[in-house]
Amino acid sequence: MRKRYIVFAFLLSLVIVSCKTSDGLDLESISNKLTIGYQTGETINTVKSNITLPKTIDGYDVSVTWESNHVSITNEGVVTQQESDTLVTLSATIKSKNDTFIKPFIITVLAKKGTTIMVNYNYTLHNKLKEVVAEQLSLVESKLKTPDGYVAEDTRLANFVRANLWTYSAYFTTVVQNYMMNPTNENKALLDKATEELEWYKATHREDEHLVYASKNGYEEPAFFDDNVWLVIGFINAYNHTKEAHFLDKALKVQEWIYTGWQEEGGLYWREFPESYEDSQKVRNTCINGPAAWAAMLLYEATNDFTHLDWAIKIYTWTKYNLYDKENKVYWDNISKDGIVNKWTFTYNTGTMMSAASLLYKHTLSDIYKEDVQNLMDGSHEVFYIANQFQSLPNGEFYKDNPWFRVYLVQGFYDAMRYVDVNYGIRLERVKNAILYGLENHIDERGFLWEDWSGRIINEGPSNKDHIRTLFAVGNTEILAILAQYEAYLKEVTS
Amino acid sequence: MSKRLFSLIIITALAFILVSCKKTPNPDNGTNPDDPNVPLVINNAFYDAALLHTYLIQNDFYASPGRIKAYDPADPTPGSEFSGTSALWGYGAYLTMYAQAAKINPNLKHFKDNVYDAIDGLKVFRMPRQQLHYSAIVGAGGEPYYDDNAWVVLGLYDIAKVYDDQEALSHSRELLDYVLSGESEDGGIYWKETVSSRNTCSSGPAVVAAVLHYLENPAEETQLLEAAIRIYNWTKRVLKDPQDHVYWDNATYNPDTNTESIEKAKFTYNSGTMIWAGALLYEATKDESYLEDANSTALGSLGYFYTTGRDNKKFFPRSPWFNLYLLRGFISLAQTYEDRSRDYLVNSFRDNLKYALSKGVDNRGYLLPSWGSGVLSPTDKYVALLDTAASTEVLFLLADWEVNYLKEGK
Repeated sequence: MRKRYIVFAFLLSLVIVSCKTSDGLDLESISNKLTIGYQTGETINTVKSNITLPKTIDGYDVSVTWESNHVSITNEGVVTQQESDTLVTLSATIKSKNDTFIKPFIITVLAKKGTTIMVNYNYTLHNKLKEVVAEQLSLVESKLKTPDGYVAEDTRLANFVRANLWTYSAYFTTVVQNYMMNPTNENKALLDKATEELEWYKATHREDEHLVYASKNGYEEPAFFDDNVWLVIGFINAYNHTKEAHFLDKALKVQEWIYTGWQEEGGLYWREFPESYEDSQKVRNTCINGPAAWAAMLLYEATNDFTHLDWAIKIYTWTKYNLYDKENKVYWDNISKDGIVNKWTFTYNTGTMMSAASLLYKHTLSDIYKEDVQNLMDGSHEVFYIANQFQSLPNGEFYKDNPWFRVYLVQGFYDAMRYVDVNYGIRLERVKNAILYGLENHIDERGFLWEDWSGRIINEGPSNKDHIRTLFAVGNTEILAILAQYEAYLKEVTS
Repeated sequence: MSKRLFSLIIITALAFILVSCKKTPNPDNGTNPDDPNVPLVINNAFYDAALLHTYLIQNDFYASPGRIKAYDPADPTPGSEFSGTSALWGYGAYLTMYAQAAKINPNLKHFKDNVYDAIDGLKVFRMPRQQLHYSAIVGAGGEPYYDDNAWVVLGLYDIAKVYDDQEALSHSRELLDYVLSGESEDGGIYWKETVSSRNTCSSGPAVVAAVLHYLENPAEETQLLEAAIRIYNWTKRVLKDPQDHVYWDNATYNPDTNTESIEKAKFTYNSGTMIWAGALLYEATKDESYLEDANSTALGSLGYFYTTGRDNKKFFPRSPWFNLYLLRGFISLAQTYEDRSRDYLVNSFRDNLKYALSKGVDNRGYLLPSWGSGVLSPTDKYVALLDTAASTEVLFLLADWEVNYLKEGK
């Protein structure tokens, strides 16, 4: 599979060189109109039944022929499911009078029904996490809003201050995860409302054409690349589950701006630093590079555009060689332009790199990424799991940092489970037991779950129960929504 | 044209240029973004923290105009000093905080409304006497202090300059008459009407206020400059420590021995107002000796007050409201030097407050009075309006320095 990518990248580069045709047809852009027909409910990543491979493209004088590289899909589109999920590359050769263009499609044929995956850890399905999420989200909706009904920064300032972009992006991704977990009309309406409210954050004063979001009605400077990358991930997830093109369009536009943060010597900037900043202030953080690599993989999955795969590999590799703590197997925080490494370790940084590595493994099947995931699973358990301070919950694991940081560690566990080894799910099972313990024992008078589910460990943020930060309330909610999806996934693979 | 007026014009012009090219009006108000009356969006960490503090203070301390709580939470123990309504001292700090807020973002409704609400609230402190002045506590039961009134004079003056408000200016000018009426036979201003001590804390701000009003109308107010110089000279002669040029607190004259008995405690604000006074007297008279005074006191103060603490960082003492006036002195002196050679004085505050914002915030979001030095006290749980308003004003002053004086907020 690795070789296949390399071969196609090579082929593609040859084709790109010759893509200007002599009969005036730009076959490369025409190829974008070529779509494969899937059965209802199936996508390029979830094929179970036969697919339709068109022989022509409407409106153009071209012919299309197809070639598969694996028996699970024939050149005519007949699908035969195998024992495990299979990646198949279908090459469409588009011919005009004088020219030829080859466009590859990478398709996942799902494993045969009845193929059960062995899960070697004990688990107990809660089955009602959807209701818990709905309850926590309704608290956010009723208690963390300004008088005008917008998302507020926290309960203390609800009468004055609209959320900053960091907080709002956390709210947005939570609303998306809520819809992914439970795609009802009601949850779709919430997503649509959140998408509309996000418009207030759009930067309208920029001289360039980029789509950028920022606090203060879009005017905060320098704009944060990382606050925007969480939105990109939310947009792609929303697109994958609603199929509404505007989500993909926004994801692509914001991601394009994020790529402009790339430095000649490697790494994406944290913020859109102007030249006048000193080198020590110009930092390249794991919190932008990890999620940007991951978002690039998600965009590659959604569009099949190899540019994003290239970006993902480039960003991931730079981050690994500059910010990875080999000894402890977790990620450091940032490196400045003058090369000073800040060695703080937060859960979300390791988590986003785990998601990126898991997706890279899914699409390249390279052992390098598989090993990376294994190392990060080990390291995060060693460094972030608060082992000795809480012994009375034998199958529960409490992790450090605030709830929003933990979201991305939990998401990393979930991606590692789905794309690398289903038995990594044991971490999710234990996180689930920990958060259920919190819901049982540490709810404040409003009904919000505490930042610290164990009730014993002082968190980094203000743990004042009078003062709920929206960022942390939606963080807890998003974790629950991921865990609900984990349970659904577990049920599916073991049935 | 005096140099000070000239520089004011330059700064104002600069501010307008910045408005049009660097900072951006906030179109959230639904108005034309080119309209100069629209509030600005300011991208500055000190400003953001200060704005947050004003919201917290409104939320936690505000009762009604003139009725601002002194502590939050208030200590429920009967007779506790950590409870009750704010005295004029804390109320003045609240007023001057909004004056600085308005200076950096005049059209923000939140600031403008609270500025005028705070001026309106002064009426509950009004002493029922012909001469305008304010009592130390709410109602007529207290007694007036010259220094408490002097801070209000300065706050009203700043507000008048921001909004070009003649009413606030004459209010300030009228109240200044009361402060100057506390002048003793040979120059120093008494602390209040019923004591015989003459204090740096009443004399210093009296000089500053007198020179500021003199500069408003130099042709007709020469008596203000004369009074300022008399008070300045007395304070310098009696209350300046000749060793390090840092100011002592107060002096009480003993007529039997013909000597002054000096209280030698040193607080940041006493040196701060005298540095400020020196810088202003230099602008008014061009006499370089005032500048020399200001410089030696500034250097002495930095050595005396700005000391090394945790993380090998330097910190000002645990007294935000006192420190506020040292910063005002530093800013005034630094802005006298076009070659930027005294910017380092202000940078000491920028460093301390930057550290404070990362390490010295309590669980409610308030800056601790220790400003990150780690010198904590059990009373920190009672957030004091005086200190909190002062810390906030310091943040606004630093934001203004970075955004408007350094041009590029960086």
